[in-house]
Amino acid sequence: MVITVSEDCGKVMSMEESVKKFVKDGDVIWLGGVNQHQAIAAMHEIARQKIRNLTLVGLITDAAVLLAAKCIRKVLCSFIGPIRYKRYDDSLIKLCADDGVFVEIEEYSNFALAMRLLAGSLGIPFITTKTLWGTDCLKVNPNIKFVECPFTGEKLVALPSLNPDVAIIHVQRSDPFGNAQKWGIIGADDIAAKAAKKVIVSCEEVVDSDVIRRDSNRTLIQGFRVNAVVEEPWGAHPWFVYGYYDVDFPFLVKYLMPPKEGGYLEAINKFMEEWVYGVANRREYIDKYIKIYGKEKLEALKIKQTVSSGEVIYGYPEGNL
Amino acid sequence: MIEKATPFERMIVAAAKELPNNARVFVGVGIPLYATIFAMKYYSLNIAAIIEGGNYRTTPPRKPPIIMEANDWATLAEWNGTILDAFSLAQRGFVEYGFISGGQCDKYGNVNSTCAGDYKKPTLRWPGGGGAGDIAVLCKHTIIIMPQNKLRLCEKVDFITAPGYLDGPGARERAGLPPDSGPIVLITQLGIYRFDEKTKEMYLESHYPGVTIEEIKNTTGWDVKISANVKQTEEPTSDELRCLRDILKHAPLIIT
Repeated sequence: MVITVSEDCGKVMSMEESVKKFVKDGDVIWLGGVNQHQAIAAMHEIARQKIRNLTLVGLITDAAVLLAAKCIRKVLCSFIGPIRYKRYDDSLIKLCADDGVFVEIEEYSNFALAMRLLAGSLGIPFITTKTLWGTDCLKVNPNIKFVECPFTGEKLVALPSLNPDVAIIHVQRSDPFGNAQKWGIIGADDIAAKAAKKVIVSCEEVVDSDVIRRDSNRTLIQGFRVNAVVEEPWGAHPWFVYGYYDVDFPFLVKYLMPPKEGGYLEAINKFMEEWVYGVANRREYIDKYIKIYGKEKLEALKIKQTVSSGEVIYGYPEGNL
Repeated sequence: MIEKATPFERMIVAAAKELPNNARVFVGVGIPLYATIFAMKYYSLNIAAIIEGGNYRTTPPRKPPIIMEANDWATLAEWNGTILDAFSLAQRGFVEYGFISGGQCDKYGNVNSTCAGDYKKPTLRWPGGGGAGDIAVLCKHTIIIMPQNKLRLCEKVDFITAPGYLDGPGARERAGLPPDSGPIVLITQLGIYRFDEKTKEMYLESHYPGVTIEEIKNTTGWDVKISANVKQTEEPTSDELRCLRDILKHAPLIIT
């Protein structure tokens, strides 16, 4: 969609500009999705800009390129694919350490980490839960404490609130003001956006506000909470976006898993040179993909057999006024 | 004549048989997901399969998603929502079964999917437990599925990601976990293990035809107890295998 500056309060910008403006060294950062809707275009841009000392809220996050670019100092981890290794010598953790970046891991479960964001979103200092009992997270994570319920005396796990400095969330569509709509499995994007101090919306399409208003329950983030809106088609590739495209599994494996032959670090460094540092932005990345694999390969990922809902109906009690 | 079941197929079919009709199940990645789809499809069970990202469905997807939560799983689900809502259901006590896999399992059914060796200097690191810990804590019964060898089935796991009976009778309750909860079965490629009511220790209930007790002992990291009435595990039937292979042909691999 073509947007003029007067219409959008200046929020619509490129990924490069949004990251430059709103992601700073040392930030605590949420990079949306839980398998689905991973904000991969944003990760590539952060890697290119070499932003340092980030603390990643890693609730099922593919942060391989950020680790390979040595942007991350600490992870709040429930599940982060690329911290895995069979041999330390061939791991991203070691690659970072060699450069003086000692990645600290703070251990959580999915629900526990989500609860920290919930507390952050509610504007309260801590929250209690019944999860984590019996797990060794209690032994190795000093940020998990215990509290007695003042009403029943029940012993509960207490977790501090978490307010990321910035959340980057990839959705299907947003209007130019940042009223962002997402459907499918939401993961923790709802509470991460609410908890974050700044929000960058990355979306497949910028649409007219009228599209948003016609199905307003679908709005995940209120526009007035959003600092930047980036139209980034294929922004989650090689991961997936509901109703738009599916996983590009062979491509994902190229940088996420050790190759059958040769070392993982060699493979991911090659990937970084080719697909992250070797392109200026997402447009170039997609052009490169088409050049190497063909347009058909990209088209094949698109959702072809669509399933759509019945209409959501709103209206007025009277006829025309 | 249909080809014999692979170890992988054995585990999926055995796991599916653990699910009763009308069960509400929190389903982890990998084999648990396949087993749930198979149970829906072959046994026509009415199962509410809950996925941690925030979703549940009661019908098998058109094909198994190659990655957890992918389009195939979310399309035509009864509910798509959030992580908080999914786990709230379990924390409120509405989910009876949790279906998990992992890297290591010990004799009390504690599961490790965090790291091997010393936590500070691990020899191997997994991506992290994800929701496995939440599932093992918040669902009433845990079903564990894992191929066995001496390293995986060890006397004591290096890290408790998902608690079983911890270090024996009463330990779960002492640690703050609800009474009468915990793992009910471990399913491996060689057989089925259950937990002794009194000691909470795992024992071999049945093994597949052709598997010897010696093989069981050689692939377990402690002197595992064998039931006095040890039985043979039922091999998947030809019909079961046909149905399962029809499911698996669409998705040979799940990574996360």
